Amino acid sequence: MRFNLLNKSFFVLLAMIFIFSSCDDDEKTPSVTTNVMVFHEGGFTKNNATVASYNQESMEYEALAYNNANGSFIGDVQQSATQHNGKIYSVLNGSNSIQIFDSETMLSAGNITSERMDMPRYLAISGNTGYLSNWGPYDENYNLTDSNILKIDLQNNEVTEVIESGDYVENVFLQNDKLLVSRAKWDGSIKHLTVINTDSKQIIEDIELPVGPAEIISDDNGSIWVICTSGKLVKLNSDVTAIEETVDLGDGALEDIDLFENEIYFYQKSTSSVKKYIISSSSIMNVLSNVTLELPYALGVDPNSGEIYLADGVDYAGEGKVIRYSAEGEIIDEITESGVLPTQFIFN
Amino acid sequence: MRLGIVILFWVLTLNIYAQIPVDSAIALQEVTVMGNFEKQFLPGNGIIIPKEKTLTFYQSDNISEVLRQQSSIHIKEYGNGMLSTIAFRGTNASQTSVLWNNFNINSFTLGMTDFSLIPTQAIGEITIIPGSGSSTGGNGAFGGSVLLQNDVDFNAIPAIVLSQQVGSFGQYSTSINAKSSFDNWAFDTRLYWGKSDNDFEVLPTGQKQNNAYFERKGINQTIGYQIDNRSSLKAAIWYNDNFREIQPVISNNNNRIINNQEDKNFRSILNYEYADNSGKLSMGSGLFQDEMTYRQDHSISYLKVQRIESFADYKYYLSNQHQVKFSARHNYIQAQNESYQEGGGKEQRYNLGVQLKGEISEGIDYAVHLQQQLMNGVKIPLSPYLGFSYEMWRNQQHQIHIKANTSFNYRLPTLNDRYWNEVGNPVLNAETGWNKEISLTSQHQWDMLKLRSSVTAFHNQVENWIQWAPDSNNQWRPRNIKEVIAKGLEMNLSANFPLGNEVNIESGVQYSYIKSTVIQSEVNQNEVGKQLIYTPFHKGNGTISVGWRQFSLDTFHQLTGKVYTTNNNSETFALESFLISDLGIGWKSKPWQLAGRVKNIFNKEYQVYSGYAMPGRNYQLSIQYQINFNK
Repeated sequence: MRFNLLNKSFFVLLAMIFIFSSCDDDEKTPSVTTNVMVFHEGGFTKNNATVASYNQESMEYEALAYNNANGSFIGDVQQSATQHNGKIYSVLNGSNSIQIFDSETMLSAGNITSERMDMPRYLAISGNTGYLSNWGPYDENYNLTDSNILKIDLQNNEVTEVIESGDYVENVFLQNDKLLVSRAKWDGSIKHLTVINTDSKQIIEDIELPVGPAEIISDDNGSIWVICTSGKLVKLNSDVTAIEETVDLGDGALEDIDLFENEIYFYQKSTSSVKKYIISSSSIMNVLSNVTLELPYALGVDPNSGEIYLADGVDYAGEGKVIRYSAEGEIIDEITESGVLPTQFIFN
Repeated sequence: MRLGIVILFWVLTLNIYAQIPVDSAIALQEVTVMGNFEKQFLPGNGIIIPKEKTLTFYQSDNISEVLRQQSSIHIKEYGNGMLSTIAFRGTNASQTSVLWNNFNINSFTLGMTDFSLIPTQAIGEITIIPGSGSSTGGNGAFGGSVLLQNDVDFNAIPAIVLSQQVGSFGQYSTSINAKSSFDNWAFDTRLYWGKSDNDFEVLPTGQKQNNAYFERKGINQTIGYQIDNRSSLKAAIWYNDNFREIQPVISNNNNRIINNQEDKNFRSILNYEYADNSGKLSMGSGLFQDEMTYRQDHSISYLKVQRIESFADYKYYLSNQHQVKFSARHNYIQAQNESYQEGGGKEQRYNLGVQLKGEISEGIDYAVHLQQQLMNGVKIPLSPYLGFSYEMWRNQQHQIHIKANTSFNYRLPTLNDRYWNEVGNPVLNAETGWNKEISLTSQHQWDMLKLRSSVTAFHNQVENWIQWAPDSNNQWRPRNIKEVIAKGLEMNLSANFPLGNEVNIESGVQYSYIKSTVIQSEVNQNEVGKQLIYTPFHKGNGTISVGWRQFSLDTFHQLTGKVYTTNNNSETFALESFLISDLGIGWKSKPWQLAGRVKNIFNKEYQVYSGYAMPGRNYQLSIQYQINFNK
């Protein structure tokens, strides 16, 4: 249910922002994160999803940053957020909508709704086009049989097309003209990476993966990796037609992974640790030990400093907490009441 | 609907030759303390009988509207006209027992009552008993009991009252109430139908509320037969059909969503009573069926609970001062639910009790109860009650009573707790509650001014609190995991007095302060020492009714304090306190009665349950016509 969209295009964008900003401001060194947005799901049907803003330097945490800018909660069940062109697109699973806001001022910049939008999950953006994974309605037995991808024109914020994708759609990732969609049913019977050609809108591949395929990322070499919550990290071949490599993580892993210095960070509840898979040496290394989270909910690695952020949902019924570690594994800060169900970090 | 039969029945029993207005032929909302044995055996408890004005004002609404006018009752409402559950004296929704004609009608799957399924029109008499000690009819009365009664009057003068109400956002409500008696028979019929488009303006967004339509219809028929001077029979049937769309959260405006629920409740009872000089025997049996169909998109969940419950009570007069009552009760429950192991569950519950009450000396009343419930696999403690009432002062103008009681109570795990697929636990322990309370009540009269006041302090310790929580595998399951102490103060003051010769004033204020704190929790240390969610510390009510000739002006004010919605008592997610005021003007001239009402007169934006919109200012008009018959 969680996803951290720190994909390659975002890094490029980040780099560009810093290059430009460094021209104006000599004192500000490029590649330093100043603000971390912490997205919270909020309570289920409580309409109290929040976006918090954390200043890394002053360590000030503004739990209600979005509310303070806009006067209300962002919506119900904030499933994921995607940053694009200085805007955040927040996918609200319970509100059946996407809220758009400015990533600096946090002021609302419109929203996207459609009768077709039904339990939306994740959004991938390329240029002025968004691709939204959409669960669709339940059938007679609470199965999803009508999931799809909604193509959205981000210039007028309208859903323009419904793309067949197979059911139980989760994370989405764009690579050139390919849209990669992980699909996972909770009983493990669906565990696929579906590849859709964005021009023809046809499914061109449907690759079976280990149980629980979730977040999709690309490494520095452009290779695609998919985390499977059953405890496998899967690398796809360069054409995204088949599995090239399956890394056994030993035990189940959180569906939220992150890439830093071409190493893939993941959290494992059974070992209470954050580990990383070092792609160059094909080895797993321990990063943080004895990290006991009651309800592990999100992992984020600061792309500039390598600092590690972990989110604990605690117990669904109360507020969650966020812990910030240095790249070396020391606790820098801990926010014990961060909001309800912290689910994603975006570093700016 | 067997409407035709009912009407035919009426026509046959009535002598319709004149419409002679008879004073108080039907005082539909008049309530008296009688008929229910329970209340008489609780000298240490306070009893709340909602004012007739309140019942009239909210007659086209659900009884949740009536209940929330009482101080320590907080009603959680998941949107307007949606699921409404009670938090009484700081306890949770399944810790208040709801009885109809002395049978427990709490949902046996969820353990609680959805008060949005009980229209005020359906009920003859509502009595509220705060606190414990009233668990004769079932279990789980930690916070209190809500007793609903439909009775007949063997001296009733035949009459029919027709009511029609219209209101904002497509509200319509129609009801027919009829009463009659002849020979040894007596009848009371309540037929009702109502609906609301419920597309009110959502105040924060200015948009119209989507997917919140509801409608209901039902009949409540009571028949009494006096066999002879000593014995009588009473039969009652109540069928209620409620359909509603499930109001989505404020931000969800998708009109394509399909999410609705239909409830069909069939309740029938047959009671027999025999009384002579030495005692009174009451026996009864009830057949109940609750069906619920829940639709989300194309999926349909259906559940059905059928019950046969029987009781026998024998009250024996030991002397003029003392009585003893023996009681036995049996409940057979059968549930059909796809989510249960093997698609359903069955259980038998037995209950034995003995109650003693009397007068120790003039002005000192007492009662002692002992009760034991038995159920396979569940540990249930013996449940005693001890109550006193002492009349400290009495003369013609003033009466002062002090009352005290303590009791040890239990609440059984629900069918969901016991039978839910894979996670239900058939050997959960019953929750237990040790309640103590003391109150001081007084009544005064100075010339035309009548004053009543009461102050109550209570302390209720609940252990083995059952809660669904994720286990180490993140699997949600019910467990006995908490200890909670709910304590508080309730204050009540009412005054009735005339102003000059023609104006009469009835007024009342109530206030309660309740601290309901988690003392221990096996799952989450964050909530220890914190107030339970959706439990306001402060709750207040005020009402003023002014009567002048045929006119009346009624106002009701309800102040609900801030509630926390997260178990760590986060201020960020707390719901703000709100004051809701309703106002109505009525005109009454037999056989007509007209009323206009404004609800939420200050157009207050508020949420009772996080995320769900409630309507702003809205209007109702009602007209009532009474047809009287001669016997």
